[in-house]
Amino acid sequence: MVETTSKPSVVKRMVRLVVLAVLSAAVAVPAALAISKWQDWQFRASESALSLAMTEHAISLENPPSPESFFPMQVVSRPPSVSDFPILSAEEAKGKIEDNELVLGVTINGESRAYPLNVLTGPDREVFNDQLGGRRIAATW
Amino acid sequence: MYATEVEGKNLTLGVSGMLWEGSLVMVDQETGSLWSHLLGACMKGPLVGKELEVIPSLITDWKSWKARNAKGSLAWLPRSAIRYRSGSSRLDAGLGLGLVEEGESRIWDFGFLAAHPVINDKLAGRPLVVFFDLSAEAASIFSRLVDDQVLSFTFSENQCLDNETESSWDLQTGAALSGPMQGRQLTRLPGIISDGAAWETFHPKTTVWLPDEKP
Repeated sequence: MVETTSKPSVVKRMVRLVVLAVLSAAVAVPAALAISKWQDWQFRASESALSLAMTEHAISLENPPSPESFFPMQVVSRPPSVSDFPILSAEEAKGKIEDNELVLGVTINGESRAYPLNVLTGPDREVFNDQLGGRRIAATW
Repeated sequence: MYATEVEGKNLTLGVSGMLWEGSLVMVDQETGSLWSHLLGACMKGPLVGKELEVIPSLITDWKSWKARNAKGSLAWLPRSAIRYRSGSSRLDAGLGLGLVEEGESRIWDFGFLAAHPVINDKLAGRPLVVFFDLSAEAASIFSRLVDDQVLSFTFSENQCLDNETESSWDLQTGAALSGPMQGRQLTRLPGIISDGAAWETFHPKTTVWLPDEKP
């Protein structure tokens, strides 16, 4: 009796386990697929929203540059601003800068200063804050 | 080149790390406002709507600059680039010299300027002349008004002369070198060197100078 009652119960348990496993798989696999699809969709949606936003806000004759059409994108972290750099006299400049190097030159109230483009280049170098001929300026081009 | 005094405030400008339509966005340290580098206009923040004054400047090579500004000084830091040199042919790089005058804008392409070093033109009714010194790839815009007279210029045999007095003029400084006008100085206008495509993006109504124009 013991044997006949215990045997079917082992089989039943095994059947129950198999059924449970199949049921779990039946729920889990589509769920996992759905989640991954949803994530994929979400990623694509955000991508297309970005490109849509860029297209929508692209400046044009109908949508000229203005605070309303201003949609900048952060591409590098903000570097510190530049206001401290050596100022050389023409004599001191000899041997530093070469004749064919391009410079951004400015004259204000009789005072002249040149900013070499080869110095004024790069995210942390695009704008030099300075004072010349009694005015405060930002050398940039 | 911008003046950084805005409504009595001295601003310290820098790079924001942002781009707008591929063009640099500046930020001021004092208010955190964001400024379009090409337009010199505040686009966001407490100073929105304000504009920076463009200080007229000239890009030329060091040889030309020091010959004309013997007492001038040089801002210096170790180089962060080496490519900006005269003779390195920026002529087909799509660069141009642009000007905004009373809401109208126009750009003169370096490629065209190389073939037309002196262009008498007008923008928003203002008579102006564009000079291009090919040896230094130096482009300038000057007013053609001297006293109450509007001059017109021609370029021949490597010399720039005005038709009215036949004085000769320096293509880089706009100073009269000889003739009745010797010692006079044309007023430099705030031209901006820009990538032509970027200029057209930021000035959607701009006109582009073309060689067949006869102003």
